[in-house]
Amino acid sequence: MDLIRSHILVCAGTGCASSGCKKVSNAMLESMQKHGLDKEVKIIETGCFGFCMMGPIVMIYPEGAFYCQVTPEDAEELVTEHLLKGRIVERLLFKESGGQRPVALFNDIGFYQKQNRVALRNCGAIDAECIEEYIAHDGYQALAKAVTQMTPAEAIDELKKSGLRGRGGGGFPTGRKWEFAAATKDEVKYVVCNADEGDPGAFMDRSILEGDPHSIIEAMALAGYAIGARQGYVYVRAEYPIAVERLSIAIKAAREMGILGNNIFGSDFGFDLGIRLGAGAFVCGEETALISSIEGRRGTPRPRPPYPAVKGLWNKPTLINNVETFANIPQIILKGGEWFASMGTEKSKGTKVFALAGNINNTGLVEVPMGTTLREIVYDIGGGIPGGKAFKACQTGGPSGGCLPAEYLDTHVDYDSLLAVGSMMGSGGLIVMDENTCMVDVARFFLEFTQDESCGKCIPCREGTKRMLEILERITNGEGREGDIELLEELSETISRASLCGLGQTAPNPVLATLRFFRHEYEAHINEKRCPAGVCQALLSYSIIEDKCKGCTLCKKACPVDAISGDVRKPHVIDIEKCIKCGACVAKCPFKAISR
Amino acid sequence: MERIKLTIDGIPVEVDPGTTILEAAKRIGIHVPTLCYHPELRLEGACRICVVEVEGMKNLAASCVYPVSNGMVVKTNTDAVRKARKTVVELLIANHPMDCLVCRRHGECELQDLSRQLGVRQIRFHGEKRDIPIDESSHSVIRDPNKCILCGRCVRICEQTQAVSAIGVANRGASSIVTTPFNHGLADGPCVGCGQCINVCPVAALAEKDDTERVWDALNDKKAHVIVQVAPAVRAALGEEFGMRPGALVTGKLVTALRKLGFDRVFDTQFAADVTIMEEGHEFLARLQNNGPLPMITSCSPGWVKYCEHFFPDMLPHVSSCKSPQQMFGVLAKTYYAEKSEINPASIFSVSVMPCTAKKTEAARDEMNTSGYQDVDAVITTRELANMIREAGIDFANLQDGEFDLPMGMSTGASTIFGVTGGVMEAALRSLSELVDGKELAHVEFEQVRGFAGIREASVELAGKKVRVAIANGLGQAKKLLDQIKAGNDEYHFIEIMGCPGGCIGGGGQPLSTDPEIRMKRAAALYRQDMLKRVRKSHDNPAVKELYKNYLGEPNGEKAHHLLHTHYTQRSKY
Amino acid sequence: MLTIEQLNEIRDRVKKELALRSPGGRLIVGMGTTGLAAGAREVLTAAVAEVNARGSNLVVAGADLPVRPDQLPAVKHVAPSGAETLYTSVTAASVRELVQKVSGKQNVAADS
Repeated sequence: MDLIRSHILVCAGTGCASSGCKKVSNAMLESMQKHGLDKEVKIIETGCFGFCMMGPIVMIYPEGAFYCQVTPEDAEELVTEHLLKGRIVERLLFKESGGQRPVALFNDIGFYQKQNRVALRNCGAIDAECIEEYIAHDGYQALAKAVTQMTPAEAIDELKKSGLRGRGGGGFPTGRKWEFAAATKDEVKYVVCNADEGDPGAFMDRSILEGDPHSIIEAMALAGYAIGARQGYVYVRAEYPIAVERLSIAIKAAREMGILGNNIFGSDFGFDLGIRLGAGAFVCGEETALISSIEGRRGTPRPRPPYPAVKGLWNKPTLINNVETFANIPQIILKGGEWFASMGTEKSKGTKVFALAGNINNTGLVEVPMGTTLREIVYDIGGGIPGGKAFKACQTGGPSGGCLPAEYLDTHVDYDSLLAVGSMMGSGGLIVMDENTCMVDVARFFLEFTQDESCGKCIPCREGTKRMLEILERITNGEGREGDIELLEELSETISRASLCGLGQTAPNPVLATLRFFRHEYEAHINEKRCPAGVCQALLSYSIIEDKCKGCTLCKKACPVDAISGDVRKPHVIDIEKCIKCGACVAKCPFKAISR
Repeated sequence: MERIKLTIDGIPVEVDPGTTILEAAKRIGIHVPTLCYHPELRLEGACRICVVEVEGMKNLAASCVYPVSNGMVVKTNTDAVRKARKTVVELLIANHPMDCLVCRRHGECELQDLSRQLGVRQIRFHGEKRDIPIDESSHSVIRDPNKCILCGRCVRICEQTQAVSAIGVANRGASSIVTTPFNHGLADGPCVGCGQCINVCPVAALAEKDDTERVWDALNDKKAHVIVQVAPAVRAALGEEFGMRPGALVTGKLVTALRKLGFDRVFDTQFAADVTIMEEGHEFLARLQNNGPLPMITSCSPGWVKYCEHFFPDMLPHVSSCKSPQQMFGVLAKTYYAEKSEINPASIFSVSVMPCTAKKTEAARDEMNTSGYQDVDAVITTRELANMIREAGIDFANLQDGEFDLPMGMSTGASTIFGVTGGVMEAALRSLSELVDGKELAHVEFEQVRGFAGIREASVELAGKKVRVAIANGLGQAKKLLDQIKAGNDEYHFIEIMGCPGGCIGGGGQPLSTDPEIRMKRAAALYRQDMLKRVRKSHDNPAVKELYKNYLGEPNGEKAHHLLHTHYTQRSKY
Repeated sequence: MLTIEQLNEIRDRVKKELALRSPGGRLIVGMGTTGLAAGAREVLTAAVAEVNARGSNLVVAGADLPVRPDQLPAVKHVAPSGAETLYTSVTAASVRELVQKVSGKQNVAADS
């Protein structure tokens, strides 16, 4: 028996992988071998801890020390100090922004304190490639319970009791979705997991697949049992190689162990799973387009009805849920719908994972109970805005969502509250913008995305988003015309009401949302040819404030096109004709003497 | 079955479950404009022109795909509906070349019609427009992706009706285009040139290769002896181009119009069709006696022949080696006719008027020069001929009837019905019965092979033997039939395949329409013409008898074989 | 096919291995240079073996303990409550007993 006295958990999610976790764990191993510790200390590569900003993350148990931004050079010190001598390496611990003292334990970090990890419960806690670790965390108990003690209807009832709603964006009650699929009579049915996560910045589905793939396998098998399907497919984008690899390993392990296959846990129920790779089209997250793509056809949506629950994959009744939705389900079956319903708000039960991004200190993945306020997420968990800048807005719901200004910071984050203020939950992207953000430019950015991702099938979305983008480009280029705002509004109306699928129907949202709260910024761009946030290059005009300029010549030296002239210790001047508005002078000026 | 009750624009209507809003509206005389919708094709719901308001729904519903439900309240004429439709058309036009006045579909353009109908008066968007090279690689079909509005009808008919899939949608969003695999020219792929895509294209994104200039040039050439042949189906459809009712038979006016255009001789492809029956009939008998290969499949339809070369190369030995009537005519014109009329074949310019775009590609095949010259110099479609007649200022509807020139203008009722599905089979059976059994048929109509079902089959007695025949029209149906045969489910002796639905009357070069009712009217016209013919069996055609007696010798004999038969080439799909 | 009994067997077995990650109390073995010289490594090994054998969620760790050299090897027990007890002149055998003793207590504490 191995006498393991310490576990080193190294995050091997995509975030930490790109910041070099593999090199860190190799260096740790090498150092441990050098000191003869490799037999008593075990390195485990886990899924995402969520705190990607601080990666690569290394956690050492039993102490539970949470080391951040660890480099291969730190390995030797961690081994000799922590593992050998038992001294915590304070230098590498997390420090709260503004906080003086480092925080040793992961549970004490503000980022985690307000979180409640249900969907992410195993992410970062277990070796994602080890089915036994999943089982040790009560994995596959829910499936065992369902197939031996519950009827399919009872399983669906439990789900309905939980109040779980689809986490992919729509928020449709999951229990009812299962009920519909169960009600359609057919010999052959399918369960599909939508892992075509496409919102910019959102990566909760990827993290779950990377960190806890067995929870998805278990949930899909549960779904198969509940609706009467024997085959499932996970539709995952090919850009998620780690997720695909871990999921493949997990499916193989579940098959070998006899969890997937026939007569699951001695019952009559059998289930198997396949992986289908998507090529990264945003629209393939739309369920009918996803089905089309699995079938090997062009991934474009088709009109509904008929809904997939009636006619889905290969015209058979098909249940489609997204990854995060599935990740909640084993816990619901195991602990009961009431347990889940005890979290969250009246109409939005449980927790929701958000991907924090943008101008925020703690970017990463957080899971909070429904009903947590935006303020708590942004400030208490997210650590606020870097550089002491003011909060301007935050975008929820990805490109299809809305932008909420500061006065909405106390909005409770749940499906209905967000809709009520003109935004949406979406799949859980949360992008924070500080005072230096131009909202017209933000709208342009998101529209660039939606128009680029339009499948091109229906005319309003294909042609309309292109024209909207052209108008926005015109406005941010200082060529906005009177009537542009109205034209944008009219186009938005047609696109959102007449488009074929949800992507098209929500494609104009970035414009509508920013117009709603920041119309004055559009007007400033069009009427005054001014970008209030100082972002839109074409609208900037650099000049040196005579009173402030000390004539230090730094700006002159920084200017790449020799547009600045002036003698030493005398105010300098910018030649507007030559200026390319690169901002190099502003960055160099120690006296804040350059305005734009 | 329980009926569904709903109201549309306040009018109650009762329909069967599964009916779409569009169909229900049509039932009570409410017009809803459509664009990507086509009654013969799979529903897409893509263009959003047909949107309507459904009470309780946040968004507008595409009426062509949205099924009715009980108690549904539909409004087809609200401000939101009109605005949405109008904006959609405006958006399409904003990305469309504005060369309507010189466009070949001017006046026959559904986008133009919609714009007028919906009152689009200004285009408020002046952004980037597509700029994609025009694909002129094919002899049959020209693609101008800049005019394409991506309704997908062409893609659907090519896949669904014709089982070819030579084109599909590529790229996404604003860069979406209908194109070929790997953007190769249409000529480099499996396109059979049938032109069905042209018939369903609402704009000028797809059109036949225009060969009228070459014909005008020949007509202007004083030294050229310009002759023309006309396929049977042309006479049953050309009138539609001049406001005549579908099914009007315009044989006589057609002849007069061709003379007025300046053709030196006006001949009839039907003469060659009678020759085809002689050759094909004897080939069939030979195969029947020499154990195959059977079934023998007709080779009149160049779309079908090319389809077989791409998709069923293993079936090529089953295809009759007979050239099509157009090509038999071509070779005989520059040999037999030239010799008989003492005209230098080099000076003959041979034009053919066809209901078909695939005929253009067929005439350009390398092997089609047994006369020592290109057998057929130019092929124009029914539509192109109509354009020439209009351009010449000829008042077609009021022309006097004319008669074809001899000898190659003489034909029988049997060759007339070549233009409709089942016609070649019927013509062959008329002759085979008499040639084999030696006694005159009391009743020349073989009703059992007529009709419009995609696949039909029948049994006939030939020399005491039961011969099983089958007929398929449209390549999708042909594929179905061949798959069944290959699976060993059916055994036939003789099969007629036509590339287009309904046969040549539904060809890709006919006046624009894919309406099955119009096809039936054109077919009826040909059957009427058959009845009017004095001679109704190919082997009784005196001009054909003379051809064999004085020139060719035996049907299927050495000379006939050299001139009138051909071979096929296996072709890859991509 | 996997039976529920087999599933539970795996769960219970691996849960013990993973106890390390949800520490109940800690047993700190003085692993300074002098401690090591006095045989601290053997004590540590024995403690870990015993913890593993019992499936205890007691955590065994090494650290410097400020103890007189003649009292080494030394072991400090830190209960989940934070209460500390120092044991001196520990041997491999006595540490096994210690593990049995504190693990027992701990389970009670954890259950309450």
